[in-house]
Amino acid sequence: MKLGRVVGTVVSTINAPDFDGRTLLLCDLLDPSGKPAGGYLIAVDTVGAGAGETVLILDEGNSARQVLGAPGAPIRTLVVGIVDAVTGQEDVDTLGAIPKAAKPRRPAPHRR
Amino acid sequence: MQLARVIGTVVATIKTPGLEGVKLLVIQPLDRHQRPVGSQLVAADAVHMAGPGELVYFVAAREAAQAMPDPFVPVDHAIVGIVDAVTPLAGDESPGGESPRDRRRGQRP
Repeated sequence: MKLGRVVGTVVSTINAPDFDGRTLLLCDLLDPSGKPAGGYLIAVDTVGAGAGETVLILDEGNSARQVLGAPGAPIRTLVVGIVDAVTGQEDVDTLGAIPKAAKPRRPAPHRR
Repeated sequence: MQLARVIGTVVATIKTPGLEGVKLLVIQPLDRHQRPVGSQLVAADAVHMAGPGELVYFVAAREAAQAMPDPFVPVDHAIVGIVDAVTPLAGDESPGGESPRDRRRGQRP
């Protein structure tokens, strides 16, 4: 799943039937620190997310169809959550979201 | 799903079974400010109404074939909707917002 921020909506009247009645949200992708990571996705809303909210985006077709209960729908990208907070190491690699190698910890001085 | 501009059509007489009657369009993917980004693609038209110049959204990968009447066809990009409007929500202050000049640039030549 990916982190994103809702920046707009996409309105469409002529669409594949499975999109009828669904809200499409334009979401910028974010890195874990909340900065734009480059790129965006148009996602189907399932949680009622609104403007400026940080959201959890699912970008995998089988799961998306399962969540929607629409087995044949050509839908792959969903907003599946509204993010309250992201916590973690400060030195998260913002490109790959891979934590940098932790410094070897020195054993605590032995006291007697 | 991403935004794209339809920029042309593809005509193919000999196609794999299942693709008969499927309209193929050349699309230029766009960023969210509707500026061209990436290389042009051939996408199947699942809404049967898209034409050159139109702003559409498309789906990639396996889900593209799901949009076709026969879901077991070799299609990896499909147009699944024609965009009426992209509405930026209040509070979107990201750099590179759409200006009239961007809008013109996004238009088909």
